[in-house]
Amino acid sequence: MSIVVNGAAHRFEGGTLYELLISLGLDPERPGIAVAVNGEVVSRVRWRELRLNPDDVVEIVTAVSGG
Amino acid sequence: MDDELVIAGRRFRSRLFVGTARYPNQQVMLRALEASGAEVVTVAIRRVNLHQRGQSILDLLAGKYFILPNTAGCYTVREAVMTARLAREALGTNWIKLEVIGDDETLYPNTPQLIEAAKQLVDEGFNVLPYCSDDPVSCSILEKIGCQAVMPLGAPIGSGMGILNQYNIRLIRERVGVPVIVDAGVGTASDVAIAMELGCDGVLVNTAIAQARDPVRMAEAMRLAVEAGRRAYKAGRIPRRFYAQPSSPLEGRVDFGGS
Repeated sequence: MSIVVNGAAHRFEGGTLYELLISLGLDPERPGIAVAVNGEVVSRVRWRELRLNPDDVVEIVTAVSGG
Repeated sequence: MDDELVIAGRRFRSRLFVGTARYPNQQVMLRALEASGAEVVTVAIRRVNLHQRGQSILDLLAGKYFILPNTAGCYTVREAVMTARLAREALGTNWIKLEVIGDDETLYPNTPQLIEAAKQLVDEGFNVLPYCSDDPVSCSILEKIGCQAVMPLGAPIGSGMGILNQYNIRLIRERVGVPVIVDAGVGTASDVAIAMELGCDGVLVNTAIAQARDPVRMAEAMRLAVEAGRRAYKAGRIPRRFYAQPSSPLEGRVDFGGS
């Protein structure tokens, strides 16, 4: 299925948010990232249970240099 | 020293807050942060780069500094509130330096949206430190709705023009009960000292350090300026007068004759 990850179209076999993060090469066990799906923040404890649907819009963020 | 800065019940040993952007490189940033003596450092929240993985700034800062995320780049209540929630989730902190920008060129705050976003975030349990205009009325409103500090600008972000309206900053300090941290506009150490002499509780500096010819030395200068300005404020300056007043005694002068 096709979803949107950080503004770009992305092919995803389907599964949970946790599985998406793994497939993107991110380590879901490490702190420092946060995720919103369709405009709602999904807390870390729900990453393993939240199943993604076609056309979901996923934002994955972290801290960067800032003032 | 018992002259600690306290915000939302948390004590801070340094009154200098330092941003982490625009340094020549990460090594210089780390050395500058150390030289500044700062405890609070700010970060922004942005999309993870999925194609190019670099070292996370959190790995560099965690454990050594109190990390204060901002909502830089947000122009609406919704963007700012979402960014704050993401920051809380990513960093495990309920502190947020709230920015709601109203204009690209001046980066001045959009005060109505800022107040609305601050209300929502206070309700959600955040410690909100709003970047705001140097206006005593909006600062009072932000305090009233539950912000834990106010962060009026000295001059536009990155402009280096210093404390443009000292009178306003003084009024804000007199009329607001929560800590006042001057955020933005500082150009050099004397600007920081002025802010502290006006009674401000702290200063946030980024560009003035990061873009100085020698950021590490400038960071040290800022640390000294915060301390000097704070001590001068506590010591109580003399009043200004329009005419001279001799400092040496007039009695006992030698009479050389004539005149």
